[in-house]
Amino acid sequence: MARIQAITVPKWGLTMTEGTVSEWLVDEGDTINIGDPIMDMETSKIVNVVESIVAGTLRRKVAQPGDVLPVAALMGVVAEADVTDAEIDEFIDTFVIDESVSGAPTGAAAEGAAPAAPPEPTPATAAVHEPAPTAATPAAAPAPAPARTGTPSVPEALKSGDDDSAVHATVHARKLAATLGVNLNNVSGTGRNGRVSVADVEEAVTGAGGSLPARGPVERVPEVDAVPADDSGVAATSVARRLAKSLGVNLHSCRATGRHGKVCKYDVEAAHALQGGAPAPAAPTPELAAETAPEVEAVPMSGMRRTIAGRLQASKQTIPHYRVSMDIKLDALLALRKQVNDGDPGVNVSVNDCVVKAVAMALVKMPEVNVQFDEASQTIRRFRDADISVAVAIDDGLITPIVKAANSKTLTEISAEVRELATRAKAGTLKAEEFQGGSFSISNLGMFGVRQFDAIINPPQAAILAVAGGEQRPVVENGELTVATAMTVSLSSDHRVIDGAVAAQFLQVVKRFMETPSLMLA
Amino acid sequence: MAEMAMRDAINSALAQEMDRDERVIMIGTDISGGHAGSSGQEDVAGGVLGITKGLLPRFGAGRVIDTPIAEMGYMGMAVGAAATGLRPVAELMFIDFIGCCGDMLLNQAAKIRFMFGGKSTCPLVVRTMIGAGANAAAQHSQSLYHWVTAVPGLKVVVPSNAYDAKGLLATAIRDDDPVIFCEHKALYDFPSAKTEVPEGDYTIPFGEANFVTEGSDVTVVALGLMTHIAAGVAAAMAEKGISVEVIDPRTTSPLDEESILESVQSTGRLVILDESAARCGFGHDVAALVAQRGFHALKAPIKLVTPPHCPTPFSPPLEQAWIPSGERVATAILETMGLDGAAISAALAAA
Repeated sequence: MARIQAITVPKWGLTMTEGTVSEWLVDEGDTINIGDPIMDMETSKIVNVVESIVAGTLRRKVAQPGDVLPVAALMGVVAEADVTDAEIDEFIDTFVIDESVSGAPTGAAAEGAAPAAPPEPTPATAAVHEPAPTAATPAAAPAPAPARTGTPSVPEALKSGDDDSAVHATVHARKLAATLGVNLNNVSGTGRNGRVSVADVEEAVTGAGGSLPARGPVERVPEVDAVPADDSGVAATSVARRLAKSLGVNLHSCRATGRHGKVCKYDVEAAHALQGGAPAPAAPTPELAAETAPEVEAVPMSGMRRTIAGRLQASKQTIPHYRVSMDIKLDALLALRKQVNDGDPGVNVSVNDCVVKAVAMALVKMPEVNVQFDEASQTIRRFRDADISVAVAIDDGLITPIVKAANSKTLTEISAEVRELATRAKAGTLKAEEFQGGSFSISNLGMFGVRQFDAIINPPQAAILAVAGGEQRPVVENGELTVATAMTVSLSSDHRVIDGAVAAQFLQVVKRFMETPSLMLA
Repeated sequence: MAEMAMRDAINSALAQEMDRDERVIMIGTDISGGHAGSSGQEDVAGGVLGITKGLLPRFGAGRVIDTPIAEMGYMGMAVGAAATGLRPVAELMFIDFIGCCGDMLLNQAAKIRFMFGGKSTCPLVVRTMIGAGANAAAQHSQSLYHWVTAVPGLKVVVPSNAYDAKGLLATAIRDDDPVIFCEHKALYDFPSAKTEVPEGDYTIPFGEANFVTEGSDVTVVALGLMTHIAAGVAAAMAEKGISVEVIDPRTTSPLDEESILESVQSTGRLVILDESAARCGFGHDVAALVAQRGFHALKAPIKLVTPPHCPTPFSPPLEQAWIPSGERVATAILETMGLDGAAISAALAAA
């Protein structure tokens, strides 16, 4: 028993927030018992008698007639005889209104009993008074700990009743009722044939003012070995299945090289060997391994290598690539380039810069090629400007800085920008937005004397142009053999969004711009 | 109380209900004859498996109507009788033949109450055999209760033992809606399906599961013959310290969703053992129920143990391999407990 207990303003019904003390029915020094009428209290609705839910000697009347007090406010103090006045003063000074009582109705309150607020122990009161405020908690909540910490509180009214073994209830409802001490006669069943469910028991407890601990988080079983233990669904020859069983090999772990995709005996033996079950016949002897080891060096993949590997593998595997190649004569373009470069010593336009310009112009003319493909949403994003990614080889990899809106830039602007981007790419100082995105890519291996090659699309783009080197070639023109400077370009396209005829027409446009460069000005 | 095989419990429920209500009649191929060679006017075998033996002499050919093998005809007769005041118990020898009387059952019997705005009822019971294991080949081994469960208007019962069979059959006969009563052919004489059966009359309400075992670690839902496999595994698991709760829903329509959800709420793990189908079967329905309404209680993915998606093989060893085995159930249980493949193999080897 706590030595000091509080008499507090009860909560009669959901809407009650405060009460007015009409008259004390007991005096200081009187001995009171649980259930004794101790005060008349007036609310906005009624005048009612406050009954004590604590027993002991009334030591102090804190509330006086006429006082308007909130629910759960302190009205009086009951304590044992040996408690000093100083202790009672301190109890009053440190009393804190229990918000859980003032805010929520309790079953006892609804029935008119006075649920004195437990002197919710601030550390100070807990230290001065006995630790357990149990006796001062409402009769409706006999649990030793407050409900919100996880222990259920079940109103007494639900516990009494006749033998409930014949009540129609689910197995788990009966188990829960037994745990909580609820008599099933007090629970209304809402299930089929009036059966009581777990939810009905919970509803009865909370409906009568009790509470149940919230269910804690579920601790999930960690994901284990992705290989399911049950391999009966794996197609296998019967010899393989028997062998696997005897060797303890899971058929899921075996390759299926047999006919009709079945796991065969060889596959089981191979899997068994891999798991170290037997010496692998192909394993080199230690001496041999020692001899050959220095010839092979294990080079770890850099982050960039891994990114390149992953992206390009995915591109090659998932995008239906096809290629269209075309020969382009460069004589007119080279003449133009000479004029431009000769005109200003600070300018050095490369053939590749011209390719960028011509491609940009062609992309604007053929917007069906100037696209990205968003596979997830199955949409084709068509760009207004030609943002051209130019592949730049750097140490241990490559990167594709973007010449943005190349269609609206002059040759010299493109030239300066490509040089600057390439320099910074090699220095590793590109910003993300300078190499992420783009609507089309150009890869140029012309400087290595490559005659023709194919490139892999840089997703989400839908096409990439592989530009080989220009060279003097014998060509037949008007029936005469002459020499022209020419190069071969190959366009790799994603057939999901760009059809063959479109790709071919696009190359025609590129060719026209490059062979008649004045058209780029037209 | 006498211990009875499921075969005798069904026979006694039929006799009891025919005694109790003279509107109860029986219709079906060979229900008094059997094994050919019968005129239908003598009590030869009482059906191919002798379930209805003795009813013809007791109630007469006017109430025990033996028919030719003509499901469409006699099922139409039964539905008509039900719609016009009798309470027929029709026997569809194997549920595999349901296609032959599809219109009568799925489009007439199931709809009558609804199409006539509740002014008419169809108190029909169709007793039918399900299940593999009798070496009866692909056309006589299916467990198509999931088909009929999918049709609103039909109630579907899948008893697993003698006591339940008698109580559920009495409920079915007294029910005003059409009931498909699916008897697993392996259970008629199955030792553990023999139970004490009261001589007097009792009923078991539909939509209320039987808890075969109570447990706290894993919930296993199983019907019919599968409940016995599950119970065997539960006993073996108990020795390993894994407490398995085996729930037999007894009826698939209505389904005791509440008991299943409450059980999963307490265990957090669910294994469904179901003979109906590898795809779109009863087990998938239960899995969907728990995924929708019990997901937050789950500690591990739901496991289904079903036959493979192929017709029941005729070859006895293959048929046995086709039927969900206790080993597969045990594996599924151990998987829900978080054991990996190697640990499961070790645990099973130790068993």
